[in-house]
Amino acid sequence: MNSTGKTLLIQFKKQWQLLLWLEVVLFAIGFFLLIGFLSGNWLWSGLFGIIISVAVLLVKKPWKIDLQKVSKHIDHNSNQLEFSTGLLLHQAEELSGVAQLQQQKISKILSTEIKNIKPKHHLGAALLTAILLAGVGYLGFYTGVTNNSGLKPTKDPNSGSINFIPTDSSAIEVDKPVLNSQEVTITYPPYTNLPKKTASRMNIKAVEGSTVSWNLNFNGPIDSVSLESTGGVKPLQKKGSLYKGSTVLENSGFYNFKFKDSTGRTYISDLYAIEVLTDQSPVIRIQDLKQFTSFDFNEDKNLNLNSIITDDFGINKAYIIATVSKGSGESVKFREEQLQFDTRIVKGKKELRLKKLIHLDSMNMGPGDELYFYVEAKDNRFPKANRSRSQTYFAVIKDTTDYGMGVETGMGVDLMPDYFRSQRQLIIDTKKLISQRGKIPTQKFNSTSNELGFDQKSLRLKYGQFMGDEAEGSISQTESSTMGEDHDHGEDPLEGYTHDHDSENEHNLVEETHDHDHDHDDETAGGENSIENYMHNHGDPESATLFTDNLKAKLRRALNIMWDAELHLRLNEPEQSLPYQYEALELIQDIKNSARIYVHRIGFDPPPIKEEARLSGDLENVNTMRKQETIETTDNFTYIKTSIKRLEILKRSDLKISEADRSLFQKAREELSQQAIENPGRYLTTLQELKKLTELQNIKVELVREVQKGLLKSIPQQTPEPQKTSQFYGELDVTIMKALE
Amino acid sequence: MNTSLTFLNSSWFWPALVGWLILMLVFFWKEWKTSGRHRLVLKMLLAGIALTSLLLVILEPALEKPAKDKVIILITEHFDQDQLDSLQKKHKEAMLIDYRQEQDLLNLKEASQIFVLGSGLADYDLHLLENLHVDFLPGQFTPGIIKLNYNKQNQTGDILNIRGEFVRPTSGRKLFLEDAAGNALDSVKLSPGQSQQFSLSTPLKVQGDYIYKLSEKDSTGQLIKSDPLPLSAYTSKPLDILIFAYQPTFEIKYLKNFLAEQEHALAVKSRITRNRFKYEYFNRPKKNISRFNSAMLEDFDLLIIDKASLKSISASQQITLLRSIENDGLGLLMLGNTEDSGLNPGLKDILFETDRTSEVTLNHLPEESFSKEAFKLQPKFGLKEIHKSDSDIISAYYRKGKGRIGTTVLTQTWQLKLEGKEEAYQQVWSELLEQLSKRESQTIIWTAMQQFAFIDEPFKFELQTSIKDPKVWTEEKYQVPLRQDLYIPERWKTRIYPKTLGWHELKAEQDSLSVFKYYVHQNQDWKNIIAYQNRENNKRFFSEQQVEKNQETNLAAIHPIWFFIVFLLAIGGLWFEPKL
Repeated sequence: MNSTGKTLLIQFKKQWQLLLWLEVVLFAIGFFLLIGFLSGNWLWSGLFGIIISVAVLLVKKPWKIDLQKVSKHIDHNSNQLEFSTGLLLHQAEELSGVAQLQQQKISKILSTEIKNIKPKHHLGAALLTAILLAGVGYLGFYTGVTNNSGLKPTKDPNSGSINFIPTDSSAIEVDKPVLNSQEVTITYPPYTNLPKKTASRMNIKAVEGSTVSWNLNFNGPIDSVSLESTGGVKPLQKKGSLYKGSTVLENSGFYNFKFKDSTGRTYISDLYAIEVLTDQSPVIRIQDLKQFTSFDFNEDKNLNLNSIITDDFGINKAYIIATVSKGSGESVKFREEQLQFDTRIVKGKKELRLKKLIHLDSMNMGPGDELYFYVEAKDNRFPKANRSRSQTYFAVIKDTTDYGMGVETGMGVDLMPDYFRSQRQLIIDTKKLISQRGKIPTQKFNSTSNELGFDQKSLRLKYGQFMGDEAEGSISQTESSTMGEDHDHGEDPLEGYTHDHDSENEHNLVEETHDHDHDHDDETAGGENSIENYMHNHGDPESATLFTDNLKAKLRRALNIMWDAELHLRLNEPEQSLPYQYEALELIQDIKNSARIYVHRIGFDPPPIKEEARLSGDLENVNTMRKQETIETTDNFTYIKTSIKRLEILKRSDLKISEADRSLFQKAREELSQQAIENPGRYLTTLQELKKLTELQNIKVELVREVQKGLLKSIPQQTPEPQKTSQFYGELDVTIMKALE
Repeated sequence: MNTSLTFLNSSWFWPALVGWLILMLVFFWKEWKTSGRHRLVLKMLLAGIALTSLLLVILEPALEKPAKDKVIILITEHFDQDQLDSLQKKHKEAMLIDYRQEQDLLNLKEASQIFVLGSGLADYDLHLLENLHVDFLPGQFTPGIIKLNYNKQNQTGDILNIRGEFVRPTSGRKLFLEDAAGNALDSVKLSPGQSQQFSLSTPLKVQGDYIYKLSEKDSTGQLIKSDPLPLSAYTSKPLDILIFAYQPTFEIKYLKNFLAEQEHALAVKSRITRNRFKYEYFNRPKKNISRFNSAMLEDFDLLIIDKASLKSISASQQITLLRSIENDGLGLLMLGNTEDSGLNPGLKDILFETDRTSEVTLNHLPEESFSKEAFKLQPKFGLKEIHKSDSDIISAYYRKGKGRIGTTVLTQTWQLKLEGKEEAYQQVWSELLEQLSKRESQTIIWTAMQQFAFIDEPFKFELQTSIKDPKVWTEEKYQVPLRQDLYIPERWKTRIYPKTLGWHELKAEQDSLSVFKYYVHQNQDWKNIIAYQNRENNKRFFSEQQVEKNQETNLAAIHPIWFFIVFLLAIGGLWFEPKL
């Protein structure tokens, strides 16, 4: 009895396993169809299907279904079996009496119950997945989205074996030698660090200087194999059954193979392109640096140079070439040095990020000196490295003592009196004084400082005259107003006091000079014209202020700064006074330059020519000349054009190509290959077809049409040219013209 | 009923009548002799009836009856089926002739009414319908090109312009102009509507005879229809130009270089200083060009001269120059616009107006600006403009005899060349020189009177020539008969019947250089255009001839049996009468 129960279980197990296997198969089919439709390559999809099925198999494990599992499953799904199906697996003899009873009972129940129990499976889901996948694949295939998705392997015309065509079509009937294998090996120049490449594709794209070698293996008797290229014909060496040849690539071009079999028939292959890539020079980029940087003398004169250098095969060297120019005019001196980057250069890297902090001070640069620098990089090309350099950058330390541009071409009138320059003198003296600090007694130091302060004052007063400040009193007034301004700026709270104190102090120390000065002013003012004291003549251009408003404001500022300079001198602080003096000097320089008046330069005025004397010169050595020249224009398309015309006639006739045609096409081919060097991809097919036209005995009209198409495309647009037109001029025209006149 | 009796054998009327009279007299005499007055009248009556019957048997009297209408329906290309159906309903016995299947057209004359359906008959068949009552019912065109215009003879470098009209275009389709090998050169998108004018153009690059194509393609690039466009391109001969310069200028220098590089022949005379000249010859042998004479000028197609030089030559030489222009067709381009005084009046027909603008853009080159002198040309009858800026004339010429005299106010054009605007420079000068240069004289002008030639169909053409008795030969060495025009003796007309497809040539015996090339199309080419042309021709033809519907009458002969019966009865009466 239990045997029937066990049989049932075994049947159930088999059924379960079958369902799981089916599930696996469905998944596999689904993926197989999806990939198949999308890629169009059934081999790959088959492989993929197998992988998927293995994966699903590993998940589902149908072989792991044993009777134990089956009984458990059945027990779980039925409440009548009392979890006893496990008993059926045992021999009745092994069981106790109760167990045997139960076994028999269960066996009975099982035979009816098993029909209601389904093995655990996901067949529906699997089926749905398979249908869905197949549907998606078909949809993709139908809509054609796969055509340009790259999923589908595009058929590469060059990937296949070399296609040899017998030049004489009658040779087709005879067995032709078969190419067993072909191989092209590209050995890149060592510096590129590129591995050797072997391919069966005959179109070559390689770096300049690469060595290319070909291995052809023929099956059948071969007399000779040669390689025809733009450079000429090169026979391949025979080594056993292999034919070998190699060359070093220098220029782009085309080549094809030609072989002769033992019966003397020749065969040619398609034309293949050689595209030579030149090693590019390194590219240097400099970041965040202005082309022109200028520094004040008291700034931190540092330049932060960040550069990124890239190269296609690797950088060998990179450095900065810096040139310092000192002085100006004829006394200019240049000093060139090569600076290394702060970052270490790793040779052979394709991209380098290099940094350099240039301290202008450490380069012995003073005010007015200029630094020009650029980055130069070399790549690792051998034997001659590519070298490239960046733009030149400039850095200048401003020279505050500079006069600015001189006016050589015009005659400038310098309106400024000589003592304008004494600000410079003051600076020199102040500097001298500072350098003497500690060396001379404090008393002397202070008094010299005070003297300088007085000089500064008298300079200010002189400038004040230019401003139209007529008397000292008025200066004081203006000063107080400016002082107010200074207060606003919060420059120095002492200023108010120093001023008061200052005027007294001034009187004490240098009263003589000052008085004299003052008196003199008064005297001249009083002595010359007494009315002048009472009038303020703005109308007189001589006495009117000579500066425009902007200049006036500038001068006013200079005067104010001079105040500060004087203040610090009087306070015996020449160091603090110095920046003010510099500032004042700069402003005065500005004013001076802008106040220059340019006077029109007197040009050369030739004396009038006497008409009767004109063209009466001695013409003895001037001869009438004759010149004859024939200009040969080189039309690069002559043969191409003639070929197009000839092909049109051939197309409509018997397609018999004569020897003359062949040589014409050969010449057209040469012309076209000249064009093709610049653009090999575009003309390759046409060149191949032209080759066929010149070699093959029997041609088809499609070939002629294709060649013509390609040739027509290669001809550029014509430039406009005057042309001779023709016209019939009959009696009727004569009559009409006469009637019109 | 206005039926009248006629005799079919009316020519026998009088002899038969005489015979009848004689027989009557003989009978009367015989009766008179034999039976005297007895029943003479009755007998005479019977005899009269019998003889008259006999007479009528001979003369065959016929009654004029209105003939039954004979309607012919002639269907041609693009006929409307609905029209045909309704016509056939109305004229049940109408005879249907399909013109497309080349059915016999000889019995058209019998029809009382002819309906021509569709686009109509070919030009050469229209005479069959002359003086017949025809109703022309043109049908609708199928979509396609119905008008086409382009130059079949071109020079290389010319722009080939193709203009036409497309009826009932389908949206989304495109019309492509393809070259001889099938490269698409230009295209135009068709937009839906009743008809669309289109224009396609391409520069011609190569010399030779080619078959371009006009192809209609749908949005997926599928070819719908393609028709051939035969055309020839030939290279023109280089020009031979003479340049006189009063002093060396950049303008002349650059112009000289431009022309010499284009392989034109040049002779340049430029004054270096007083009585010293520089003579330059490019692409031509040396020649004495110091003085104008007709022999010297004869060689040249164009003289470019500045006014200062022109003024410096003597009055007699100026006249020589004018003669050359008038008689030989020499072109003259005057540069510089200084005063005209000192010039022969024949040379100063172009008047200037002051125009202060110094920069100008030409209408056909709106992107470039040209510098010009402070003048423009005054419009005048006979002045043909070459360059215009808006309505101002910049360059122009007028005709003088066979030649042309022109000028331009453009100046310093060489600066364009320096600015890299080579194309604009070349275009402006090409236009100027081409318009002014001497035309190569043609001895024969061939003009096809039809747009297309088809196999086995007449192809009409004309030639215009001053040759007295031109003879034209085909390639197969058959002479083509020519018919001289009645009013213009220089014009000759003829027609030929091409037998093979493709390019054909006709040559004139007197001028071996003059060749007429024509392309013979297949019959299915350009069907729509042919249909359109036929329709227009037919419309014109039928509107010119207004023939009334001829109500034709037929003569129905009275069957002679009736007369024979009357004769028998009468004779029977005569036989029976003595028995009474």
